[in-house]
Amino acid sequence: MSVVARLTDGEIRPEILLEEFIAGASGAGAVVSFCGLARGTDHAGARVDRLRLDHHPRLTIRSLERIAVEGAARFGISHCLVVHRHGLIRPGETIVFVATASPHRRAAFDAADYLMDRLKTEAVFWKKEESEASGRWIEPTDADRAGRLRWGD
Amino acid sequence: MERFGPFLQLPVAEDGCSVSDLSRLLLERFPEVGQDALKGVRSAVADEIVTDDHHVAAGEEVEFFPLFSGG
Repeated sequence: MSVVARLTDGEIRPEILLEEFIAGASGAGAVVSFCGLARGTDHAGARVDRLRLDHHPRLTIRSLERIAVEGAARFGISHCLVVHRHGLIRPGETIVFVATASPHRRAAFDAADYLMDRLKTEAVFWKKEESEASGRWIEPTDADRAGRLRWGD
Repeated sequence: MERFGPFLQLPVAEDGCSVSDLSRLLLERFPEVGQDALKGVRSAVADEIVTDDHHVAAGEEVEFFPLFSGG
């Protein structure tokens, strides 16, 4: 099993990551990927100019690694990649990229879904939606929490 | 959390105390902050997230964080 988690303040290029991931996923019969993008509006429709993701110098990467390792083990997938951005992020840019590979598709789909539910609720970040006029720290939504609870662990 | 400052030393018993004891000490020292300021606060010792009943040895460093946003 290959499990990799990375934290970066640079641009995430999903197309490059996916190509590399597929090339390295030897023996896999299925690859699933997910990209989370920064939105240009908040929950109320107001404009967001940038997203600020603060992180902890040690705990954040450890939380990503823990989620990736546990998610890969739970679904028995062969390869797992989690890449998460921190710092200032503009609308349309990728915040998170997840890829999973397994011999058959169901495990890869489920693992990617599970990884995202855990990342949305447990990854150690402090996230702020900023505009020229204001800023708002945000917490996981009820939908995020409900998504996490459906896995029963 | 910023109202407590970046680093603070608190007097504790020689055999240490729990994280929740430390929270109480913080509120005693900064009563103007109010109990709501600690709602949802998480803490870590030696780079591990810990619960309120975790025992902290005298001289050990505890980090307090506001509620995580998630990724």
